Amino acid sequence: MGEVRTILWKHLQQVHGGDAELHIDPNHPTDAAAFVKQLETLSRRDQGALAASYIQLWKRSFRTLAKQLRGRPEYAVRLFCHEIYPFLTNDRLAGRADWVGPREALVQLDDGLPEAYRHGLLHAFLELTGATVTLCPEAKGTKIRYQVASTDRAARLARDLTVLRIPLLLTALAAAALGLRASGDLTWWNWLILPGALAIQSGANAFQDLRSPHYRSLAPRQAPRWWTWFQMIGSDLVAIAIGLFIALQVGWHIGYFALAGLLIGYAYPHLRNLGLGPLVAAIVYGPLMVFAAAYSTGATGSWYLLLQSLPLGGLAGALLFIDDLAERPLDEAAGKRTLAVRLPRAQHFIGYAALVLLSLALALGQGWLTPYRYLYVIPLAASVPILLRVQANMDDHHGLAPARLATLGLHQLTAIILLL
Amino acid sequence: MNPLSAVFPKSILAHLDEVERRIQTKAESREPSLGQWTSEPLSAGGKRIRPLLTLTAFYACAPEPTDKQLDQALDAAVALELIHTASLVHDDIMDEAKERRGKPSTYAAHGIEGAILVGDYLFTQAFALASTLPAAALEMVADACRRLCEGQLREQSFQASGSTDRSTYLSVIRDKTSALLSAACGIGAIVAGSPQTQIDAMFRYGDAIGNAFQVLDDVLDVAGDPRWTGKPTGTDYLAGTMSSPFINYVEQGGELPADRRKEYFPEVRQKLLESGSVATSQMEAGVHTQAALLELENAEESPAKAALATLAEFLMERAN
Repeated sequence: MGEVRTILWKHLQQVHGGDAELHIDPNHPTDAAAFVKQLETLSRRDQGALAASYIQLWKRSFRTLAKQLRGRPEYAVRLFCHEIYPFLTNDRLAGRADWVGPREALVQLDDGLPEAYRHGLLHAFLELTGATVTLCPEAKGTKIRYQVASTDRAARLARDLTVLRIPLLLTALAAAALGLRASGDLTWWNWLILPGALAIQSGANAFQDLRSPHYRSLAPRQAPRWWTWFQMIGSDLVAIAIGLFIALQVGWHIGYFALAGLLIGYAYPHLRNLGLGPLVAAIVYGPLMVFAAAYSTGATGSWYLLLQSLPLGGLAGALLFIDDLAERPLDEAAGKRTLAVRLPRAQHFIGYAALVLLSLALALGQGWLTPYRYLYVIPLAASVPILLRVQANMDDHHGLAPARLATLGLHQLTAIILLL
Repeated sequence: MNPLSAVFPKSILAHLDEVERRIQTKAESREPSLGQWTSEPLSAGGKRIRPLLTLTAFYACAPEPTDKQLDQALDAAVALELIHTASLVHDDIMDEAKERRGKPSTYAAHGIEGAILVGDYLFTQAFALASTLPAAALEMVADACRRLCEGQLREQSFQASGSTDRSTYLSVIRDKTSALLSAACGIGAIVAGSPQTQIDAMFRYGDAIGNAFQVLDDVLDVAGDPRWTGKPTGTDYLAGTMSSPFINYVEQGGELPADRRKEYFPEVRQKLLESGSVATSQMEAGVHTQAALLELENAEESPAKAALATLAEFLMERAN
């Protein structure tokens, strides 16, 4: 062990006394030997308590980040090993996460600091996630076991679904189903539009994942890179095969939709960076996909179909609104200028609420003359608590996660009702 | 509405009207145009953070002060705001800045002679007030002014040398940004009649939040969004200032273009973000905040102490 930041020593002296003359700069890297010597006058238990007390101090200086850790022990393990511990010991190689899974991790921390103190820091940091944490020193490193609190599981589920991009698969499927219903022709090959839409979306998801600079860095459940390549190539081959088959049945004009989808998919990161993410999502998962599916199954476009596609598009846009919000800190740190980064929080909420309410009102307007009119009121009524939750958790990534799941639920429910 | 009103107790904010009244009184002059010119920068919409810090540190050390102590604390608060404004007026001359807080600077509105006179007048009025305070407070005010001048000069040579020496950087930000903040807190404790250990702790608290504020400002100048911060990015880069993220980047072996052109900034910004230099600066700002919070540990619990702690935490919210 070479050095530690002076703040650790300052904190030790504040809690347990001491008269060492410390550098005026709390960030100054100071020789660790004298610090360790004073630390070793304490019992192991006191060292652990001191470390936990420092993490509480750290938490007060990074309140927003500490909130973001809630329910995310995997992220916390990586953050601690790759950023926090190396910073505190002024050694970029002082920490390493060898393996991080959903319940366990194996890490290496430079052993210059006494084990009780070092593990105290790690343990207290991971407890900021709300998980129950146990550390087991082993020959090959420190094994960490963590169990996420039951109250955090809904948020985790929402996050995992988002990481796997399940919501986008479902929105694509709903749009394709609406287009298929518009044609009314349920010949067997027309049903191919559903796996076709899933394949296109799956390929697009893998493409975006591979282009992301954050790939797997914050989402250990994300698939390894080789699998994502396989997913992209495999999905695209399936989509091309289905597309060719459909084109032979209904004509090559459906190629225009494929071309539009391809261009938008390629330009999406740039468009999102311009603050157009939700708008693009509303167009793609609304009119574009519904019309593509309708034309692919032999139907033609109509104003009524456009009207039907708008609620689905609007709700997909709302889903992206909320996703952008959750990813705002990461995007901001990466210098991206998504809508959430550009807009003040209040305006962002107004945009989200307007999209949800307008979409559901539009669906209700269409459904009012049908026998299922009262069914259309259900998503509208269900949107109220969701809107309240979003408003209350605009700054809380963790609190927002269940609302993301619920917004997806609203989309799917509306799609089912429109299909009736 | 003052954005800091959520941080400070109402009982302390209630003194701001009296502070304003005293500030405007001190702008008055037997020469009407000098009085008018002096009142302009004082009414330009500053957040009055130094007066608020003086009063909050004062109440944290003397929860039930005498009238005389309170009167002195108010005078100290006014003196520090006058000095701060004077330093800005003179800064604008040196930087040839045309605007200050969205309005024409004194330099732009009344010329270099007018701005020198306004700055001098404000300094004089401030010291006239400070001379009525305890000797230790007067010495602290004088030292803060000395440090402002020294910091300004040191920054110029630091900038000209292109050095990335961390201790010089820290001494510049301590003198230029933190000097008045630490004096505000220290003087609050002095007029409250606190023991020397408490005065020192308050002084160091002010120093630490000043440092945290400046390092975060450096971070936002690289990574902030002007729509949120209200400030353009890349100003340090274009001016050749070696701010915290740049020092971290160079220490990691990164190289900056010798010719600092505006069109290079997006690429430089990306490099600073990807190398972790910006994140390291954020952590450094966090450590300054932690140091500030540690200095409050021995103070007795009170709404004023809680406000000082919240202010330190609030600073970090700007960038994470």
